[in-house]
Formats: sequence, C-alpha cells, structure tokens
Amino acid sequence: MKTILKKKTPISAAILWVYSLFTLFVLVYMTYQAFRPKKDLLSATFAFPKHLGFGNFRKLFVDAGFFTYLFNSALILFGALFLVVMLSTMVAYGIGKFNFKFKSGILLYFLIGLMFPVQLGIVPIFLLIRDLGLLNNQLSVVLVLASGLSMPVFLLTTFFAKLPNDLYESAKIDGAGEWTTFIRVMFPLASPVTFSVCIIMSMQIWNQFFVPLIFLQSEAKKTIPLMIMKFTNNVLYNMDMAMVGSVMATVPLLILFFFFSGRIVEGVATGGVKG
Amino acid sequence: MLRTRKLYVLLAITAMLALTLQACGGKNDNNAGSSSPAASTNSANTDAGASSGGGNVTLKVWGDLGNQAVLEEPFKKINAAFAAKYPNIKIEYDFAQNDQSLNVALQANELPDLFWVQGDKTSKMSEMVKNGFLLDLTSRNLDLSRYDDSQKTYCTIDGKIYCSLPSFFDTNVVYYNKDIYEKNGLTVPKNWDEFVQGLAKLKDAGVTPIALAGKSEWDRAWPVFALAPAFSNDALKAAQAGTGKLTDPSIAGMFQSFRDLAEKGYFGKDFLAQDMAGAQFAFTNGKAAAIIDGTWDNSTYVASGMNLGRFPIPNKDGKRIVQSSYSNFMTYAIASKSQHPEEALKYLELLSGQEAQQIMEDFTGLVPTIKDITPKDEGVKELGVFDEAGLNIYSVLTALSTTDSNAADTMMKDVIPKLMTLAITGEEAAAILDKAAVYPSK
Amino acid sequence: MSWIRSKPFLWFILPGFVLYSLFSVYPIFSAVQISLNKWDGIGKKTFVGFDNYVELFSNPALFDQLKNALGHSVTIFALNALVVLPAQLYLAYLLYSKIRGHRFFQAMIFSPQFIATPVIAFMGTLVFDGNIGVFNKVLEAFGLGEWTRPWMGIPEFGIYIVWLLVAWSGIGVGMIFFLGAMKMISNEVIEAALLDGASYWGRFFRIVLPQIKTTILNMLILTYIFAMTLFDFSFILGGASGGINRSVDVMALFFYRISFGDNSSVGGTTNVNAMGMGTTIACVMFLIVFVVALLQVFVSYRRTED
Repeated sequence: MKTILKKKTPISAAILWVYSLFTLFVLVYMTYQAFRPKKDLLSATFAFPKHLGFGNFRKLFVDAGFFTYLFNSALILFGALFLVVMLSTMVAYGIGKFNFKFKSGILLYFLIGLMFPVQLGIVPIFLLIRDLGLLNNQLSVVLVLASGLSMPVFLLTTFFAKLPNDLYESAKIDGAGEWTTFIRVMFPLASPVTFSVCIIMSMQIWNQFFVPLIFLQSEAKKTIPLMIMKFTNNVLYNMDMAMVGSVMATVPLLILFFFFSGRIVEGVATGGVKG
Repeated sequence: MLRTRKLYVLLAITAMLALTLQACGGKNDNNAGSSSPAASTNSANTDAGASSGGGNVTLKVWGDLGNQAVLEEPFKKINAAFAAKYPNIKIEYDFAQNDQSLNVALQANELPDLFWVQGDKTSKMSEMVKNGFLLDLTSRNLDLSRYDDSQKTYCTIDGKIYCSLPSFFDTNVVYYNKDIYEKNGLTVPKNWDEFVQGLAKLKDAGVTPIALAGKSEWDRAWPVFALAPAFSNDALKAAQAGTGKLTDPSIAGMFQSFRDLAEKGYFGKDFLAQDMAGAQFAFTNGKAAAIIDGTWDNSTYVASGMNLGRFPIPNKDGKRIVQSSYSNFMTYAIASKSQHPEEALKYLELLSGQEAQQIMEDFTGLVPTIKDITPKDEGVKELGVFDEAGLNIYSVLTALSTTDSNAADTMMKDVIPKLMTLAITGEEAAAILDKAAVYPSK
Repeated sequence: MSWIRSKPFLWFILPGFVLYSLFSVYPIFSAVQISLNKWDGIGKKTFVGFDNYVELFSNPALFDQLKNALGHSVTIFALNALVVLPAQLYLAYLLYSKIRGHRFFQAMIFSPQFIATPVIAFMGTLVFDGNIGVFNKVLEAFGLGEWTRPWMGIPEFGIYIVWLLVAWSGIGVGMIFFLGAMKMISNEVIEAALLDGASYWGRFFRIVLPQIKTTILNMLILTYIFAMTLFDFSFILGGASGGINRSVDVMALFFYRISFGDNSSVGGTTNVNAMGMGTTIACVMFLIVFVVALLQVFVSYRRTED
C-alpha cells in the first residue's frame, strides 16, 4: 500500500540531495584526510595528495590501543542501552496503558532529569558510586547513563496510550499475565518508535563525555570520546590521530546504520502492525 | 515461555544485587587496609594484603589530561625509572585530571596521593592550601640545591613549599616562515620599529603578517603576553610591588601597540572569527608569515616540515625581554589525606631531580632553566635566546587580584577582546585594569 | 499483596523509577540546597537563605548577563520550533513516502549525530576556515574570492552560527522520531485517505499531521527543554566567556562560567561564592524550564484526552 504514497517531488528531492551530499562530503573529506601523514596535513592541507597510506590507522590500532577504548565504549553502550530500553518501555507502558491518579504528574517527574545541568549534581552521584565501590569501573557509567530515562519515557508514553485496547483485552482473556502481555503483545506493537528511541539513545550514550571523564580514570577503562579528546586537546600536534580517531569512531557505525537500519525498521514495523 | 522470562528477570536482579554487595564488601576491605580512597576494588585489595605483609604500597597519581598526548611517553619512562629505584612502591599513574575532575575530587574529598598543580601561576593551589588539601613539604628535606629563589617561589604559599620544583620555562616567541621572510627581503628584526615595518611589507605583499586566533581566549592573548615584558617590564614590577600603577604610560603604550596591530590589519582579514586550529593552519600552510605562540607548541610547527624560525619580540631599544613562567608539566603536590606521604615524597624527589627532567626534555623539547639539563636540539636552543627573562603579565595581575576582583581575568575576557575590536584605547585598557587591581599596601 | 496486585502498573514503573530517582533526581535536590549557601566550591559553606537569588536579580552585572543569555536561549528555541521542527516533519514525510534514495538520505541526515561535538567543530574549521577551508576554495574557484570568510566564527552572526550547528547536528533526531510515529499510523487510515483522493501534500496536512499530533507536541516540549539547556556548541565556539561581547552566551554556559570558570570580571561576590551563585543560576534556569514545560504538558494532555 505504501507504494501508492509515492509522488514525484523534484524540488524536495533536490533539497534532500544537496543536503545529504554536503554531509557526505564532510564525512568523505574527513576520511580522506585520515589517510594522509601528519606533515602533509599540516603544511599542505589543501594541496594535491602526495602520500596516502594506512600509517595513521596502524598508529591508532597498535600504538594508541584503539580496541581497548572500543571495547569499553561497546560494553557501556550495550549495557546502558539494554537497561534504558527495558526500563523506559516498562515505565512508559505503566504510565500510558493503565489508569491511575497523578499520571501527568509522574510523566512530568520523568522530565525533570533533562532540566538540570549534570555537572552540578555530579558530586552526590560521585559519592554514591564511591560507596557502591564502582569508581573506575564501567558499570558506574552504565548505571548513571541508564538513569537518563527522561526522553524515552516521555516519547514512548503516548504510543502505549494509543495502542488499541482490544489486543490487551484479548491477551488477558487468553490467560496471559501482565508481563507476558507486555513482552509478547504490546512491546512489538510499539517497535517502530522503540527502534527510534534505541537509535537516538545509543548515539547519546556513545558520545557521552562528561560521565566517563569523572568515573573512569585508568586508561584501560576509558571510552572512545575520551580517546578522541586526548587528540583534540592539542589538535594540530595530534592532527593525524584526531582525524583517524574521528573516522574510526564515526564511519563504521554509519555504514552499519546505512545497510541495516532500513531493513530493521521495515522488519519491525510490518511485523508489529500486523500484530 | 512465561516462566523462563520470569526466571531471567529474577536472575538479573540477583546478579545485580550480588554485584552491588560484593562491591560494597570490597569497599570495606579497602577502608580497613589501604590508602588510596579512589583505587579500584581490585587493586585496593591486593594493596591491603601486601601492606600488612610489609613494604609494598600503591601510589595513585593523576596526570594532566589536557596534555595527555604530549606527556604519555615521558611519564611512562619516568615511572619506569621510579619503579627501578623503588621496586616496592607501585605507581598507578592515570591521566584523569582536568578542572572538572579535580573539582569533583576536591568536593568529594577524594584526591589521589599525588596530582599536578600550577604553582603560583593561578590562585588554585593557594585555595587548596588554605583549605588544607595539600601536604606541607617544607620540613621534609626535599633537595632544593639545584634551584634558585624564583623557582622556589613557584611552589611557595605563605612561606611553605607544596610541590615538586619547576625546571622548564614557558614563554612566547614569534614563529616565522623563513621562506616567506626571505622572499620579502626580511630578516630577524633588531627592534620594534623594524618588526612593524616588516609587517607592513608583508601585508603589502598580500601575506597575513601574523596569524591570530581571535576566538580563542588564551591564544589571542599571546601577543600581549609577549609585548608586556618587552615594553613595560619595570612598570609591571613596580605595580606588583605596590610602588607603581597599571596606568603607567609604558603599559598603556603596550596595549596601544597591540591595538595598532589589529587596526592596521596585521592579523589578517576576519581574525576575530578564527580559532586556534585555523590560525595554526594558516601559518603552517604558508598563508600567514608568522604566529605568536608558546614554546610548548614548538614541536607542532617542527612536525609540519616548514622552514621554521623563531625570535623573541624586541622592544624599541632592541632589547629582548621575554615573558617567563614555569612549565607545570612536572610540578606535583601530595594530598594531605595520603596514607603514604613518605613514599609520595620519593616520587616528588625523582621529579625534582635531573634524571627525570632530562627524560622530559628528550621527549618534549621544553626550554630548560637549569644548566645540567641538555636541550634536545638546536631549535630548543633558539627558543632560549633572549636578553632578559621578564614578568608574565597574567601572574602579575593574579598577584594584584583578590577573591572579589580578578584583574587577570578582566584582562583576558574584557580588555583584550575590546582592544581587538578597537572598542577601547590602550590608555582605557590600562585604566580598566587599574580599577580592577588591588595593590599591596606599602 | 492484594493492594499491589490491583495496581499492576507499579511493577512496570518501579524499577525505572528507582534508578532514575537515585541518579537523576536526588542529585538535583542536593544541588538546590547548595544554592542557599555562600560557597566557593572547596572551602566552608555558609548558609545565606535566598540571598543568592536576591543578588542574581539585583546585581546589574549578573542580571545583564542573565538577560542576554536567556534571550539567546529563547532565540534558539524559537528558531528550532519555527524552522527545525517543521523541517523535521517535512523530511520525515518524504522518507515515509519512500522517496528515491530514502535510506541514503536517512543515514546522511542522521549522521552528524554519530560525530562527537568537538570533532564537528574541528570539521567546521576544515570546511569553513578562511584560509584552508574547502568551502572558501570553492568560492575562489568560482571567482568569488572576495567572499571568503571564516564562516564558523563571524561575531556578528553569533548565536545564529550556534543555532545552525545545533540544527545540522540535531535535525536527524526529531526526524527519526517523527518517522517512527508515521510508521505507526494504521493502514486503514491511509487507505481511507487514498480512496478520498487526497493529494500528496493534502494527505500530509489532513491525515498524517493530525495522526501524530501528540508526538509533535511532545517534541515541542523536548525542543524547548533542549534549547534552554544547550551548552556544547556555545562553549566550543565562544569558550567559557561566551564569545566576544558574549555573543554566543546561553543559560547553561552562564551557569558554567560562574560555577567553574574564572569569573570575577562580572563584578559582585561571585568568586568567593562561585558554587553558590552558579547553583542559583542553574536553579533559576530549572524553574524557567520547569514552569513552561508544566504548562505545555497540561495543555497538550488536556487537549489530547478530549
């Protein structure tokens, strides 16, 4: 049915092409610079490339220990993302699907976390984490980041509220408990939106800088944004590494996103709506 | 299906609880035996076990996160040298300190055993001393025989010493592109007038005479840092001692000279919108003939492979008085809370000694201030060519500041941008600072 | 037990509620407490009641900064609400209707989200710098050499440059979310519209927009909160002082400058009271955000529940 929606929109298409090609150009330019030695980068930034090679990549993988940072970032990403998605869909379902007093109040309560600068509240969190014995442990960052439920809860609540009630009723009649109804019926129904939340939250967690800075001290525990900051602090001195670090933190993810996002979204969307 | 789900949830909750409990348990061990409050559970445990066995301790050291890329290699080697000397003291050196993490550590009272400080360059160290965070090193027999008074002053608050001593120099010089200078028939200027005439010539030739990062709070101030001692060293000295004022004509003239450079367009088109990377790129790519920058960036320009020269700005009489401040790369303090002050002191002794300083020099090429450190190469020697080491205007203004009125900050955030945008004259600049300053009573 | 059984929603809300309260809300309350003290950050705290609030609004040096920063924050919100939000809806609709190359567009529009903020600023230098920026090279190639400028930092554009960066890097977030919402519109609704014979844009305005009305209202609230608490790009472009003449200053940067920056050039007693005054500013910011968000939530929910 969705093919019928198509229409020739040349102006819109042109806008999209210009915009996307500009962004693509920025990414390609960054990748191109990552293949150039530091000397060329500095003194012939715009000249015709004389030497292109994988030297910078070798330096990043071997000397700079890129994979340690990648491992830590991935660990934190999957840990925090799992918790965020699990907890926020549960909360949103609880608020959206059931009727009780103070619903808007609780929803608003879940928004408060977005309104206050995290730098100010960091000392109490620090003391809390210290008392849990989790300083310099990736779990600390997972917990703190997973508590950032505000946006997903807020966005998901209306969707659960709008889901058709008859599905819920029929599941109950089939004898399913609340939990089964949620996991097997309601959760898949909201999956297009859950998927959006997943993508947005994973980017926020992936690029998170301040929380890892405060809680992870030893090099073996640090994440990719901290590694990139090490190079961007003295950006010209470390320009080769800044380039290649940014490319490796960005481009592989983007390629994954490009090839798989379409399919994942389609998959869950059609599966979900057919219920 | 339903049951397995429930089981999973139960398992997950149990696992989390167990983890938390275990972590808390580890925390208790930590309190019982060990030192470093912020150490990870694991190392704290081994630490506790070892110290009861006798001898072995772990020192937690925080390094300068902002300069990690520069300091990583030298400190690896310095720490190896320490390990060779004191095999039973383990150094856990982490690049974990910047303003934010230090603030959190101070407020939570969780400082590591050792961490880097900026001496008397800013007011931070004296604030920490006043609140009892630092260990007084005065009576602990730190070997000071290689140092003179000005280096000791860096570490001294109210007559007591609080950190390892500085042995390197930071200053600002003019880095210039020798090819461009030669092409325009210019040589290293002998005095200020010759310098300015050279700038005019370069501008006429269509080259930006000096690249300036107008957007970067610190980097745009380097010309003022360089001009201040060259033009007004005596007046600054008098102001610091309370025998003169910041409205001295030589200081006003210095600010006016900076303003003139901006007004005549010697910083190039749109320098206000330029950040430091942009300014440095302009210089390394040959779009600008020179840049006024710190000695610490020497290796960046060397790495670009350009035909690089350096000279300090001469004043009207041709005298080269450069601003001087000590590098904080090796100045560390001990937290008063540290459980192992004796061992931590051993680390400071190493940092204050020639061996570690030579390691630092060989990696970074800083300008040494002590004769027994051999400069890394000819370029480093060129950075050290000047007639007189003068005052750092920021330090002078910091000394003239109180907690209520910070003149140094007023210069950085108010006076310099207004001069660049030609909103005030040199005289007005000096008057603003005079108003912000609190002079010592004679 | 039966009390709990009759309230199954508690089981769903509780785990998230506990974690969120512990790590996101509890620290706020302990911070609010600080705002009632005079405190430099490391020394002794002195309780002063609401003196900090009084000083913030009566000390002209501070109040001027507050007005300036608040004005910029509101400008960013207005631009986001009037330009970015409609653009997000527009882009989402194009992708929803599977315009040719939609997957490529989606990846590209969203991609700035993948790049860390300092790297975005650095890329800006590489592309828009006056000397080595590619964009200016292109201008020169077209004989427009007179027009070359370091586009990233022109002071007279100030806050608008900040906004452009925010828009470029953030437009994908709302778009992805609107796309998700559009995909949840049921087939029956769309098919009915098609039978109606509505045009492409007619369907957009008459069917799609009303269907995702709540989502739009929610995004508007989030846009407001994000705009008012924006920090990164202002800090990177203008430093702690907020740029020359504070041209890129925003509320969160104002709070940051007073709490953690060197700040006594603003006058007043802020240096000995950095954390006390900084926290006070953050609390005022919180109040401004909270009250408007409260109104928005109640207005939009009243409406949707009808």
